[in-house]
Amino acid sequence: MANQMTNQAKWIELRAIQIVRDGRTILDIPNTDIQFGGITACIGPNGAGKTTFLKLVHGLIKPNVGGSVGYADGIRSALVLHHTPMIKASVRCNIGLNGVRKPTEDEIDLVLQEVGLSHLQHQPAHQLSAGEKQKLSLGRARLQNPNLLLLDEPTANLDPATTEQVETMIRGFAASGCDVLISSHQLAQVRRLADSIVFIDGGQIIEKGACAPFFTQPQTEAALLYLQRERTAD
Amino acid sequence: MLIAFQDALALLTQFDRGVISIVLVSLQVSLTALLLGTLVGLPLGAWLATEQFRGKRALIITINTLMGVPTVIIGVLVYLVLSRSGPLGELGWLFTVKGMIVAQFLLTTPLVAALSRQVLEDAWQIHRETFLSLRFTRFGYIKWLLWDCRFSLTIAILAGLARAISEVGAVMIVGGNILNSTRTMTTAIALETSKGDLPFALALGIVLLAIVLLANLLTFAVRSLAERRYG
Repeated sequence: MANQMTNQAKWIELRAIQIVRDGRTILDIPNTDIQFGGITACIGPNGAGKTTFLKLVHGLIKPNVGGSVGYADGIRSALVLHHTPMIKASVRCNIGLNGVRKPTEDEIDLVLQEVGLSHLQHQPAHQLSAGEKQKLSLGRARLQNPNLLLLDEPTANLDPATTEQVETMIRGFAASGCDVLISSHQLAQVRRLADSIVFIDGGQIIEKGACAPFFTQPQTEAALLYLQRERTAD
Repeated sequence: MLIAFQDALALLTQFDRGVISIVLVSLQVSLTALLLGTLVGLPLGAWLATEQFRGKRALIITINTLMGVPTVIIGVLVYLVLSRSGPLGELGWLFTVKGMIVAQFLLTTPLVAALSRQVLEDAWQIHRETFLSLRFTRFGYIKWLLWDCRFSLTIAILAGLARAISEVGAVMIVGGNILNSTRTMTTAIALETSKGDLPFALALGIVLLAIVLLANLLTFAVRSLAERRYG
């Protein structure tokens, strides 16, 4: 399957975003633009609003009245949620689920091979391990032919070997021209993978920019405190 | 009683034409009504499970209430609608198999819709975000939701079959219990018992029980197989 990727810049503009649930502000982004390129990591403490941010970018959550999300022309995003339940059917059937267009049998074969699930394609999907389910989800995202892939904690609860395989797949996406926005709280992983950072805390985008400087010279006190806390926890 | 039972078995083993004719009418009416009730009830249940709209709760309560409406009430209403002076009197469906199918369709649809809504609503909570993130249209996610719940939904359909094939009030009123035309197993059992022809009534009762038992066994087998395979 050819990823019809162009070198067009991919960006989104967020205007007056305020997502409130049960009286609690989940996201509060007055005005910002985000440029994607390679792998961007969305980091922040638990409950910071990372998942909501990814869902907002994908369009799964609509902005509030008065708020808006603008997209660069030609953005086709695919979202892989942290917890992706499988329907009661085979691996092959689950990987081919696609609301935009039905993938061909050849495309499914190719992606099954890419994610290393060919030998399990006729097995019930619910019998897969967590790592295999994650690979299936990535394959399913691949079949949507995105040029922006949104991954919510893609390696949470995975063992180191599977984490490495999933990271390789993520790099593969980026290398094929599909930009990746990944939410993660594993800073070591973020340093390994990310080219740039979006740091969210308390529903606000506190900092964004290149990855390396963020870790060496964070610009805000919130980022500094977060990094210190995470290093202590590690 | 033993003699009546022996005579009933004799009727069955001799493939009595009277019994067979009545069984075929019953199956024709109930299975057609169930098929139509499923075709309407499942999408209705899926729609109620997945959509939010004003008046949804009232609609659910109405459907749940219809699920338990006495069959004779449905029979009287359909009779009024299909009678010569009724709004659909011109169709000439009163005292015909078609009229009986309409009555049983009205009995099975709310049952299938109400039971399937419950099953599908639980599944929708699980799959909602995934289906929407895959950008499925309403038709697309309802199709996959029904597919995901296909084994659990057999219970709703089985309940519809039980409701249709075992009811007597609606088909008696709308069909008129006409021999070789609209006489079903249940109406025949009621009639033959009152006439004192217990072997005939018992024979039909055995067939009725066997059909319900067979449907249950089939459903149980399909579910067991599916659970072993798909969890």
